[in-house]
Amino acid sequence: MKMLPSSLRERKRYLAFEAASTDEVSRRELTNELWANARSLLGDVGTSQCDLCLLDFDGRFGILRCAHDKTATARAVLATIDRVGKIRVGIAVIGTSGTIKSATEKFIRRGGIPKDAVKIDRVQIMGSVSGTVKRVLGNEIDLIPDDDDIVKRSNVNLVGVTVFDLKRVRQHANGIPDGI
Amino acid sequence: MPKYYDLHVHSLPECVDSPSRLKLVAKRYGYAEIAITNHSGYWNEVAGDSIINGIEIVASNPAELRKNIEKYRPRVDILLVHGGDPKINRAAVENACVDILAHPEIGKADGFNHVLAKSAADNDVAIEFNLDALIRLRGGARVRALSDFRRNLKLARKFDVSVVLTSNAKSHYDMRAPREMIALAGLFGMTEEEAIQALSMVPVRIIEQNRKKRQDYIRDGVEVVR
Repeated sequence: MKMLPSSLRERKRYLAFEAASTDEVSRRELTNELWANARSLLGDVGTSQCDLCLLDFDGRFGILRCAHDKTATARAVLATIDRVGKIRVGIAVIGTSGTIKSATEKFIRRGGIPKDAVKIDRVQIMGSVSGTVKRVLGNEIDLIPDDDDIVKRSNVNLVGVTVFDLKRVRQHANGIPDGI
Repeated sequence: MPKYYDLHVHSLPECVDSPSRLKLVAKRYGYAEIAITNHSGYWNEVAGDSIINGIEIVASNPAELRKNIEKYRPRVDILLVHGGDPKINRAAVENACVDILAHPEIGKADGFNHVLAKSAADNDVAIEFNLDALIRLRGGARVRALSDFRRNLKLARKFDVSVVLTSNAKSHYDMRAPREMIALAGLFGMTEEEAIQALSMVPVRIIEQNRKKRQDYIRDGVEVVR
């Protein structure tokens, strides 16, 4: 098969994005969700004009291809993804670029996930909320809450706090950490 | 570059994320400040850098709404009213103490019209477009939300009502970066300039006015000279 000469190829943009999710999401699952979303938001005609393709996704960072004049539409499609199956996700575009290479080099950080800044397994904050630590990312801590009420109100199964919340608890308790 | 604001975010104890976590995520997304606006049943004072102390008042009738506005107005920097019910919408836009009428379109009855738009403009109450409706809803419900937004935007343009774009986030997974908010606003016909205005200039004006009012404020055009 002959490749099209560069003057006849469609022009593209590459969107580097970062996804926050409550659990691990695979590339295939995200692709399916992306297509379902694009079709629901733009219809078949709009989706074909947008020329979307998820080129890479490693669970956190990814690259999405779109037509060069449809970046706003592609952003809107990414923004409307709120869950993949039962897993909650939130996607933010980090930057756009004209080539895959520059999108990767400029925006994607590899292996940059800081782990276990604090060593704790149980946390109680703000008086009433307590839970078991599921994961720690830098200053951010996700808890599996003991109480299900707040989970029902916000449709997320993890409670998100930061190390700054814990410091405040330590001070209030006169140096004796509450439930940690 | 303009400073962006998200004026409608729910936090612990109502929802799952602590104010500091929401702030961290917001900073990463490119917001200057966010307002923590829990429903009035869950309200507690929040403090901290880049966090605005706010409330979203829920009331079942106009009298209750007025009572709650009087109670919370001195304690918060930003006051939203949980709209939807036509009577509540009307009472909110007729009260100059209200900063923002949140989601006026969610009720069963027609929530927003030219009469409300006119009094919102007179009393300087901003109308909110809560983009979580476009993120969360699918199918017919989303179509309705888009049509309502389009209609509200048309009224707001005609009567020169301030509009704000907010996430109405119940966790940091519901928050979206400013550029994505602008793209979502484009879905119901908002131009990029209008969207930037709604994410930055209008919030700045509301917050500055409120902070000024909390110190030695009597009324517009009157000040204490010492």
